[in-house]
Amino acid sequence: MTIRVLRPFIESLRAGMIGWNRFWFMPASPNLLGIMRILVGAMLVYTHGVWSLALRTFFADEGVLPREYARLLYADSPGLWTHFDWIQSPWTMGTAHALAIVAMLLFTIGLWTRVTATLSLLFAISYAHRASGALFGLDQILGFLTLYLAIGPSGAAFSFDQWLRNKQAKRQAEAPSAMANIARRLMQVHLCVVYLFAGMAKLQGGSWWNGEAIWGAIASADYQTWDLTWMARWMWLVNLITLVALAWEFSYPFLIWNRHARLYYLALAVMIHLGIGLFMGMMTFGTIMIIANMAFLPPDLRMAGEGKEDSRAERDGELPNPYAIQMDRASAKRELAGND
Amino acid sequence: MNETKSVSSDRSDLPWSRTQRRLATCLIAFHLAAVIFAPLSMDGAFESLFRPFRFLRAYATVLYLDHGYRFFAPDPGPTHTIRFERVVADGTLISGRLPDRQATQPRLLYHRWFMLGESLATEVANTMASFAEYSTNQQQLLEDIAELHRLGRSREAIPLRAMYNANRLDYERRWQMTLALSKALKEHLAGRYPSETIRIFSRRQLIPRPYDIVSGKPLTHLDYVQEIELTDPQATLDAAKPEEIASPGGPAR
Repeated sequence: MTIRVLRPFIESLRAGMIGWNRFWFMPASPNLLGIMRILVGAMLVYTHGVWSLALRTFFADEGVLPREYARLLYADSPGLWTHFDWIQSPWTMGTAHALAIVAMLLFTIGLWTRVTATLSLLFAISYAHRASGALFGLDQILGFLTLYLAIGPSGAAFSFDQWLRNKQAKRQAEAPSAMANIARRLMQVHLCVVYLFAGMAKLQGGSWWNGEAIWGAIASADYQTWDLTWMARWMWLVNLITLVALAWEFSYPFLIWNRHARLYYLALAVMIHLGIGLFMGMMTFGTIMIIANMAFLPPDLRMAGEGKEDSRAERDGELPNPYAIQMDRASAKRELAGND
Repeated sequence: MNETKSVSSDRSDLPWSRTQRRLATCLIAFHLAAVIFAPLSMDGAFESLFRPFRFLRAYATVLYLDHGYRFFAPDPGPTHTIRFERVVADGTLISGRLPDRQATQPRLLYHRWFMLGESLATEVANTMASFAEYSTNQQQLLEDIAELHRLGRSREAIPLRAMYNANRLDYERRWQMTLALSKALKEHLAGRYPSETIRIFSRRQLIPRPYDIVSGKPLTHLDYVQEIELTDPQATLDAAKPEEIASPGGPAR
């Protein structure tokens, strides 16, 4: 009797487990990761290249950011580390900086990607830990994208590694893998967490409720790169943009998973982040957010509807691959019966 | 026969064994817990609930994942940069801005300096604003502790003493952060620009009302600027500090 009552719950639990397994472990093409590696790598090279212009100003003990500041900032959390604790002379700091940029360049082109991805990640984190006080959203997003590209096989496509392997083995394409899917899924979920908390934090602000938040952004003399203050005469437009931006950000974590809504959400993401980049002078931040949104593109980069054989799974981003088969009712039943 | 084949093909539906998938599931769940924990527990939120899960914060810190993601929130408000005035040997007064809209290039470097100005202003403003609150809270705790002692309920005063000491540690940490950042900036500017005297200001740029702009007032009007002098950060902080609170007769123990 008890088992009968519990059966629906047990079955839904098992169905959830099947869904979880398919969500995370279904093999996916590494193509998307390969493209994202190039873009994220280029951004790493650029951002760390810019640090070169003021390396000692921001990273040396005699600079504007005392090490004590970061230590006190992270006082309640062990785990702060940086290689700048051990290097201070101009020569060693310059050498380490050059090594970091070389590692990031190699990561970008996809040479020895496993090693250079890990090195790029470690350097990016280390710089961020040392430069606490001069960072912004760009560094946060760049950090997690690099992490997931280091976890996944980002060097398996559009890379020198792939070119060298193909040359030796005469292979044309890398097989889909579960790790490629896990890396992509982690990016997607993490991005949803970012938008969820960014949206919730905005709900605490009065200007997001009275519709004037966007005015605060466009009328900021320190951010402004393009004069949009003519909108003061068109406040209904400011209200509308504020409402659309808030609604988009708040609903993104929930509706981006719907394949019908996805295209619209991604298009809005591009417009909003491009707007932040162009009008507020934060092109690096706007660009990295657009790159992060690419995680929701199909992993093989084929658009939906391209090829009539595309299954629903493919349209959702999965690929035809040696493992992927349609989960029909019979196989689902067998899994429910305890196969997984 | 067919049934056996199907079951077999189900197993090959996913590339990893069940054990591998379970292990990966644990790792993914742990990682995502840390990703969500970081913004949820910012600024000591859910302190009592999350205390046993502090290891997640350490993990997030190691991987630089401990962020609040509060972009342009709660409101896009005033911005903060740094201004300095220096008098050179021939008596000329030179004023400078960090970042300088024209001189600080590329834009990413401008943003690095901009964020430094924001961090400095946030620390100074928070520290100064917290003086009054800190003083009131600590005074209340002292009175409660004294009352409990008077009533012979000394054991109940123990958590209050712990709270008093934790507040003091947090306050001192904030004070030190503000001072460290201000002093480093002052020393850096003094070293970079040899001058007879140098004065440093945290410059706050306010957001104008739309009708001000419609009436023709420019964004850069001085009405929208407020400054706090940080030439001697210790003196600036000391000036805003309340009178020293007397020791509660044991809280430090």
